[in-house]
Amino acid sequence: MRSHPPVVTSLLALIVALAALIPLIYVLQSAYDAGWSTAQQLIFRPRIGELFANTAKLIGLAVPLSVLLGVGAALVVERTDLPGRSVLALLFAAPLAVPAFVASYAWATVWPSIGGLPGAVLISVAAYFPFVYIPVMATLRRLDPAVEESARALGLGPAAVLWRVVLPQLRLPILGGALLVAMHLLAEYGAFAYIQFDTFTTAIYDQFQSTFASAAASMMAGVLVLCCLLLLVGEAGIRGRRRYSRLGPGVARPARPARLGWWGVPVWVAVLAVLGATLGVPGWSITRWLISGGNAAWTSDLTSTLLTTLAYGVVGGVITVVAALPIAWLAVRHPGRWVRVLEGSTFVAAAIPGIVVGLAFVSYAIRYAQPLYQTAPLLVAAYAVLFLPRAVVTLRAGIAQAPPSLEEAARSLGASAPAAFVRVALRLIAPTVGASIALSFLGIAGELTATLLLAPTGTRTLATEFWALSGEIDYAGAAPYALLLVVLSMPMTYLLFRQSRKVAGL
Amino acid sequence: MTAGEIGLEARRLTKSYDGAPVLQGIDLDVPAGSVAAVVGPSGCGKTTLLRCIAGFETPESGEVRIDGRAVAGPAWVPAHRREVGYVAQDGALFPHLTVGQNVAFGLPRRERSRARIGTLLEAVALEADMAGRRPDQLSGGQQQRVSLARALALRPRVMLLDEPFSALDTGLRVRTREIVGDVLRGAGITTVLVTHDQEEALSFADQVAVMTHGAFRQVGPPADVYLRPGDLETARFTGETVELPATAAGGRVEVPFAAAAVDTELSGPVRLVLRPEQVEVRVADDEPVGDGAAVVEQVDFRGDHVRVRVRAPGEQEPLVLRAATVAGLRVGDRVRLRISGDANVFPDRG
Repeated sequence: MRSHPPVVTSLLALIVALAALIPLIYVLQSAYDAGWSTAQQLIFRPRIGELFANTAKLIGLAVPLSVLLGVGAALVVERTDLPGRSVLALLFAAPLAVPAFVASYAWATVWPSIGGLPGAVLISVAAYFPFVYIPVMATLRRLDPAVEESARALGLGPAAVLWRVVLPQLRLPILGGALLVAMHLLAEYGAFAYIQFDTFTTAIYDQFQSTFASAAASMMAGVLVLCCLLLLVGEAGIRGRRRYSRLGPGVARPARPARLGWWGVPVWVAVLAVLGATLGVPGWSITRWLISGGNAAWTSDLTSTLLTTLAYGVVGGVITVVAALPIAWLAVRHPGRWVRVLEGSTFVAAAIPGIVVGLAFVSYAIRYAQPLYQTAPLLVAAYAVLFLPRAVVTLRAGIAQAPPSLEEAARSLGASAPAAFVRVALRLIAPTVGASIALSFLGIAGELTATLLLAPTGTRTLATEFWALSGEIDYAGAAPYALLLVVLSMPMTYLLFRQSRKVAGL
Repeated sequence: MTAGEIGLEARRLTKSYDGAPVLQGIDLDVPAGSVAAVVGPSGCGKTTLLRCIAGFETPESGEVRIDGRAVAGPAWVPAHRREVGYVAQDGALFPHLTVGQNVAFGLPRRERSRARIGTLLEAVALEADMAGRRPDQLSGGQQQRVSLARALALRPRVMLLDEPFSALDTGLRVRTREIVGDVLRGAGITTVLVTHDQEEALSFADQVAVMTHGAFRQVGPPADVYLRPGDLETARFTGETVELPATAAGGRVEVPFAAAAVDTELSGPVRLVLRPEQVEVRVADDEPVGDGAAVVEQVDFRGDHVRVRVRAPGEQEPLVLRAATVAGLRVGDRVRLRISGDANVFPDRG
């Protein structure tokens, strides 16, 4: 039964959706303000071409390698009888707990001269391949083995089945994972700045350092946003409207794993190499610096930084989720063209890198709200815009678990409408609200780029403090921060892993 | 409450969504303690009718009275004060509560005793020790019965059932339906069942309303609706039909291949509509083919009956009839029909 969306909720959702588009509006407005000739001058110059080439090479190498590694790891875990593969399933997801800029620091420890394109590719593949691995693994688990068995019955060998039946069914998770990797490559600042590999994001930051929120910086931000949106549209175009889903009811039975036999030896060697590069290097480096730093590294600054980070994480997490609730609620309970537009705006906002969000908030604060510049509320608002899209997606799924028929049942049992909402809907949504606050909290706790631009003077978070110390080559001093950042990222990684094993679809 | 009193009354109810009418002046009287069924194809507005009675939708005009008290129309009573029980298609059990907590949901806190919950569960033929289970540990039929127990707990004045059996397997559906019917009749609760399954409506209710396009086509006792449908569409919707084309003249129409005639006010081409069990096909090999008998062209075995296609020589349209398997019909047999009960005559619009 359709009904009209409630007015107050719609109004709140509209305000939030507009706020989510602030960075995009900023980019468009600065292009307009600069005028065509200035924009042309700033965009069509060798420096931009150089950055574009760097970014393109990085994406062109790191994305296919991540796909190769991610799909390979998923196949090993789901479709072979390799001993220990249930532990491997989690270990392959674990690199997500190491923030990319911490991975950079770890690699610079074991390989001091690391840099350039090879270094950037190595670090980003090691840090991001789980974005492909997790959805592919989840899809492999759900594929109906009957389809593969039918292919065998039609005369296909195991390799042909893999190539002609299994891989085509993995198209969607591979595309989705590849998009995530590419987006992260475009948005990442710390990992590439650390090894002095220039991308748009690092260049925007440098420009910001030297000329503040100048036209040059905002033009580069415009090109970066354009790249992100092109990726988004490109992925949607390739994916098309097709969905591959299992036909027929019930739960798929697990597929019979391939017997590796002696092939298990080279596979294990490859697995160990991957784990060594993704977990071993960060583990070893952090441990080494922790030991050499000793007790002296655990300063009182660490405690105060941790507390600041936790405070920002909690406040930012709660505000993000409160802001996301109206849109998520409307999307589930009152779907329609209007609400799709609102939801779509958060989808676009998800493609905008932290550096652009930071730049937009700095510029607008200086121009229109000077007193807000370098204050905690502004930073929290930026966090909310940055993590809103993910919160909307999580909340949507949770609200869908509380169908209106349950509230109606409660009302027919004598509960008033508000009482039915509290006793049934809110109660059912509560776990998701909690989980989505936790996810935003963890995201904020490890956020570096926007925090560098927006943090009030003297405010230090784990990420910015780690960044400052490692930038001063104080490896030992940075190690406890690195450890805390990894520890804080672990629950989110585990949640993502667990979810992928339960929830259907990508 | 005495017999004959009206438990639920709907008058000229109308409702539309985005300008499209869904209810077009519905009138319904359900005597207190009796069971009414509203049957119609999906999208006919029957669920909207139920939701208007429950208070989940506001009718645009018309009124609803429960035990004489206006709840929609002259006065508005919100859903939670209507004392109406509602059992949804999927049961709508609260997934975060146990079976016992579900059943006790509407009860005042001090009445939520284990004994009370046990009694309610037993009333719907479930075991009292099921109270500790989670809804997802129950079968579909058990979930529906818990949903009924939950609604019964408040002793509602009216019970509304929105296709509560349609998600169940055939065997389970019949059994759950019987249990639910017994419980509601035993408690003397005025009940409205909404369904798209004519057999369910006819067997469950004291009164059946056939609904299409937001309006009732016919309302009456099940046997009336079944044997004396008001029009061809109702006849086809409420059960299988045997349709014989014929021509009416002078207030009478001859039934083909049967030595019988029916009175009618119609004239010209008509369709005689019968239920399959009213028509007996018997072999008549001694009779001449033509107006007297038809020839069997095809016999399909269906277990307890056979489907036979018969045709009189020169006739355009063959007839498809149902015959008893024991009649032993074969292709080429000459047959005549014996009709019992009254045939319905409708104008033949081709």
